[in-house]
Amino acid sequence: MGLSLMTAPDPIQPAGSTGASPATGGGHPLVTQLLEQAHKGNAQATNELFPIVYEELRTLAARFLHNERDAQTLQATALVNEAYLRLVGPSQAPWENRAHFFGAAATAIRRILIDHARTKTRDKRGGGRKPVSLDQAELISTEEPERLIDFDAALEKLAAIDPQKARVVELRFFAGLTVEQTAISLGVSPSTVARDWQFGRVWLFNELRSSGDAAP
Amino acid sequence: MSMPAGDPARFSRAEEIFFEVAGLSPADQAAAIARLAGDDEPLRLQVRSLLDSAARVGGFMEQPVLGKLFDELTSDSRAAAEDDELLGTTLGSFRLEKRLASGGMGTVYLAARSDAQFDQRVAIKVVKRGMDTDEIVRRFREERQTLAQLDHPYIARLLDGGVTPDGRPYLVMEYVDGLPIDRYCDSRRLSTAERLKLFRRVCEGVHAAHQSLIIHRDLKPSNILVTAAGVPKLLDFGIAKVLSGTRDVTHTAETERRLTPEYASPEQITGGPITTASDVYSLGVIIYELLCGVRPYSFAVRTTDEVRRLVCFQPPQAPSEAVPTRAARLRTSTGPRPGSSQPGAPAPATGPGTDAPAAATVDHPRTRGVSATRLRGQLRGDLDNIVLMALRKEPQRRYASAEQFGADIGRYLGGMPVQARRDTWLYRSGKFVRRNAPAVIAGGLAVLALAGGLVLRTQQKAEIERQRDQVVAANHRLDETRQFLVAILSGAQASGRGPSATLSEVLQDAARTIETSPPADPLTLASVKEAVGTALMTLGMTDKARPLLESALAEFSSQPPESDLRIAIETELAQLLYYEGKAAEAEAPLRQLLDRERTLRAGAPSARQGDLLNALGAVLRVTRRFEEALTVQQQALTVRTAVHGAASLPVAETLNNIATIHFSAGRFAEAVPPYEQAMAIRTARLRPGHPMILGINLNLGLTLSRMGQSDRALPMLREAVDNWQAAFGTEHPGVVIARTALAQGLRKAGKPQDAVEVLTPALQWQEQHKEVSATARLATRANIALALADFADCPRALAAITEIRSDAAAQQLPRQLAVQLLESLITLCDRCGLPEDKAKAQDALKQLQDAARQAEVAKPPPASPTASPATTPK
Repeated sequence: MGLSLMTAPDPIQPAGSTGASPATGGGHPLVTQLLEQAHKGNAQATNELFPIVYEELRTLAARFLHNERDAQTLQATALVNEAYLRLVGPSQAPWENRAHFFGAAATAIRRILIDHARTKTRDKRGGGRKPVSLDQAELISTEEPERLIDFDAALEKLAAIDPQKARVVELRFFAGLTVEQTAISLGVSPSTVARDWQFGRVWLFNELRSSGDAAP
Repeated sequence: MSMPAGDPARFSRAEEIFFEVAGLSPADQAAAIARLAGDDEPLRLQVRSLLDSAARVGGFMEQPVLGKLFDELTSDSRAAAEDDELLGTTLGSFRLEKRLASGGMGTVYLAARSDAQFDQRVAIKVVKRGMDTDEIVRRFREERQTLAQLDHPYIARLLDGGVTPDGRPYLVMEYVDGLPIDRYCDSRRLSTAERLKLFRRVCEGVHAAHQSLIIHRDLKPSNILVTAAGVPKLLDFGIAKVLSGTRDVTHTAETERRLTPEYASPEQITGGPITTASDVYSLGVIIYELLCGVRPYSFAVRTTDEVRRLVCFQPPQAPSEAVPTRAARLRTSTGPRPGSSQPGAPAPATGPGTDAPAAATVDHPRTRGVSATRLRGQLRGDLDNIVLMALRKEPQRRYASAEQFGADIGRYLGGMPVQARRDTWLYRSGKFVRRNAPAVIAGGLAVLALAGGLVLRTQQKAEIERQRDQVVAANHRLDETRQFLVAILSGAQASGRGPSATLSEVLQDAARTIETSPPADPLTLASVKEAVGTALMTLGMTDKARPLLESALAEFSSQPPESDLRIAIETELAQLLYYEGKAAEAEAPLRQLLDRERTLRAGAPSARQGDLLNALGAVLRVTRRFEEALTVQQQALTVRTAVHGAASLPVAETLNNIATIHFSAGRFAEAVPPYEQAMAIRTARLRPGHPMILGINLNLGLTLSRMGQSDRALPMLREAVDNWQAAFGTEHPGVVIARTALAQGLRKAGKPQDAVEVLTPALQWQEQHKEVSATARLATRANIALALADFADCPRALAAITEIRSDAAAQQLPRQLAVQLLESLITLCDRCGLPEDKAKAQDALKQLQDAARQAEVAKPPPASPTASPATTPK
């Protein structure tokens, strides 16, 4: 019992009024359409979805940057959720439908981060950069833009060998999806996701360690 | 060393081998790699390199990156640029050497004494520019004053304070070179016991602060650093307020925004009065996380509504249940970890909001060197109770102090009974209350919030009222359950039973109330029925229990057959057969349930699997298939030891049942050790006089009396009868069992008159209660008749036995009792000179014994209706 408390989805209050988004609550008709088509397996729809999601996330992220307090409590999932609500609206769409949105969001977040890291390294070091070796238990963080760029390269490499593992990492690490959500998003079992995540994480860590050691 | 890119086949071969060997010991790993990779040297190297990385991967990628982005973009790009101007400068007599961390309130630097008299390193916290409103300054002044009052080995000391040249306040604090407690525990792979010991010291520190009337208000792992020597240091009494004097409710809203919702108590979320109990709650969240690797709540979306919904209204899962289901196959944790990870150099946390906790749930148990199953077993029971007690929604129902919290953990570590209990007002049917706790809490919280509202600003009052309305609307079903609970309780008053109403009276009233005014919601109705039915069953009122349980099953029929609810209710029904004396009929459903449970859990041991095996063993014993019963109970023992731990109550139950098998098979001497082991566990875990201790008392007493040790046995049995009556009143089947056992002991000791005296009230009670089965009644009469025969009351005994044998229920009597009756009858016939009757009795006895031989019977087992509370359903 007590589950009745869990049913109603909580609306997210937009934190400021930038007016950057289309009608609040109504969603973005094109996005809804694209999502439906993506769900039916239309790859072109997925491609068209990405720039819209990317723009929205960038706008949101920028807006949060002007409101320090919100930025501190902001998380990947919350950001993506909010972007979703603004673009798609508070529909009771099944997660399967939303999965494509989150897929696009993960890639978008990754790109925003890498762009930011590139800008930063250019600013700091005038374009040049040294590979950094990873030690135990260190975080990939934007405090170390070089590391993030290396990480991105390693992830690209993983994607060339095992695209699914790279996708799992993208969804979990960049969009903050849980194993279950990732599983739904990719249409595979949670145990597969868990395994891919375990191995992907170790592989990436290993890759970064070796490339750091062997860097020219 | 890295694999040539674009070779998926080799990549997946490396993956296969990696997973194959990851769980092995280093020595076995080497052999396995050699075997699996053959002479493919690059593959071997790749796997070894991956394994090495797996061992070091630590916190890598544990936290989704975005939280960090915003942390960094705000503190770095805006404040840090300004603050970095301070690097290299001196404040007071300290030179700022390195920035340790930035947070919502300021930046923390590592600093050293500039006069270099001696090497002293300190942490200096400087208020961020742009944040230095009057209020923050005031807060800092407060912190300075309050911290200065604290001098405790587990609390980071405040050394000095001042104002920077550009007018920003700063604090000089003891520099703590350590790791946040969660990372410390994981990096050292501390065991559960080691975590508990460390946490006790944290409680000590918090208690010391409380004694100085200082509440921390923002306890979280990143505020508790542990040094390399294992000493915890509490940091950052940033929002601490001195209890006396400066408590200022108008600042609650501000505080709320700053605190870390993951560790905040319900009263902090709702803006209620903050007390030391709020810190006890946060400590509860911390130990929860340290023990099982996840926090009681994870917020998918960190809106105020979402946080409030979870923290204020959602009962937390027990830590044992929250242990992530998939055991980590690697030696490291592999999921995104919530909380406080800080890279590189350990740093004193800089205040609330420094770390952006992750929303993602943890998918794997954190590294602590045990399997998830084992961990779950460790946590179940006492530790669950202790942690949940600290996490109660109502401050006054938590531990009264951090010290008491720590002391209870100490009791657990010392193997002594802990104070924390589940809410067990209705003993077995406490389930009922627990299940409906949210309703009770919701009601209570609204009242509490209103009480707080009297001193709050209008705006907050409106907010609270809105909340209350929401609660009322959302909790209609729960409210109904609560009303029902109240109806039952007040019904006991109304029906004139008064406050001394016994449990069975209250439950019988409850059963009637369900009929007359059922809750409207079907699921509420079903769970109320299930709870009351189970409670009635445990009390032996099987005829009242059956209709309730059956209709509960009907309500649950919409659930899929493999659902937990369905299996649970069907398990109760199978056990009901046992309680109804139809043990043989319970075998098939129990076996079927076992299969379903095994399928559901993919063969992993589970608590319910242990329960089902235990029940099946009990059933097999009653049907006298002792060897099978023993095998099944040994399995139950293995499962329960794995799930609950060796010294757990379920293990004690199975030990009791193993002993009872030996007893039933007549192997009394073999029964004694497992009874004694069970007794030791229960005595250590339960309060004196607990019914489960009485049960063992009874069984052991009976066994000893069978072995002719009357001097040890009789006092034990007398005590059992007395205690049982004291606990349950005379109206409990257990009292009859206890009396029967005592009577048998008395007969064995050559005191048959006393035996009759002891049994007569039991029979009277049975005859007044129609719900007692005819067989049970007849068994008592048979035991009386046997005692009568013992002291040669020939005519009475003869009449009694004849009457019993002609009773319709005689066929249902336990075979051993029937055999004894016939043997007794033969002796009596001899004594009274009735050769024809004797011959008839001998024939009957022969038939019975032949039948018994076929069923492979050992020595005479107990003549009691049932000697042990064999299956005590959970």
